[in-house]
Amino acid sequence: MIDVDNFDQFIDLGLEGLFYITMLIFVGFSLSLIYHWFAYGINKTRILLMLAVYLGVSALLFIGMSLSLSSL
Amino acid sequence: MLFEKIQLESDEKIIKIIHKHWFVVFSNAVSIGIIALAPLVGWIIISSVMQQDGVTISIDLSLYSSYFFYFFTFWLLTNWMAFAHMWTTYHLDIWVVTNRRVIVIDQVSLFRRHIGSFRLEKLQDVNIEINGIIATFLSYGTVEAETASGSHAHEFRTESLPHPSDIKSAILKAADDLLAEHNATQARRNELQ
Repeated sequence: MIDVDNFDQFIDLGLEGLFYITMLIFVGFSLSLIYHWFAYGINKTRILLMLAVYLGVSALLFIGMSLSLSSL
Repeated sequence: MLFEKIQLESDEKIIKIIHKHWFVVFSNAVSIGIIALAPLVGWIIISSVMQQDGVTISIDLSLYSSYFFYFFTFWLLTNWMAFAHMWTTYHLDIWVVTNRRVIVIDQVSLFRRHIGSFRLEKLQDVNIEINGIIATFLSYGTVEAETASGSHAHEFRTESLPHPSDIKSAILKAADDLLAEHNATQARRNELQ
């Protein structure tokens, strides 16, 4: 028999793990993106604008993810 | 930034910097947007079907809405990262035309980058190709520069560059100006001898 409470806890733990793994991948990916922008870019204003938009939208999506995670 | 890495020569001046056409970003952004919003559209359709009378499978979707929104925001974040990657390859894909050479940078992916350059003295021909209705109306196409080193004739080729005929004119004019400069220098040397 499957213990339903334990199974739910297992799912919740998995979803929480997914959140932290996503965050880790996002940080690594973003660092390499930003490195490329500043190392090989030519228009600093455009890069700074894209950086602000990229980080702003990403922060909103992470907030959305963490809010829906806490409501599970 | 890029020009610190390229290290232009002392008398080298940049004539033109060319990015790919904005339609490349736009069409890719639309594709990513459609893929990103597909689960939401699916959820709305399934919800509306479930609320109709006579549906044999009755599932209370509101119980799963938190799970859906968790995975949906995760999906949006993944697509947002894909968009940022696409924008990066677009922004770093450039042609730089100077009064001495042409530098072609092709950012294939994040960790795959081709940088090629040829001196204008080596230039043999510049070919352009505009293919399709949208490309004709928005004026973008492929530019291909052929150099004297025959085996690498197709090395400098980039698709979806804006106003290809203007690029061709700029490169050919720069090559002609350089040739005229060389001829004038040679004539002065001959006069001195």
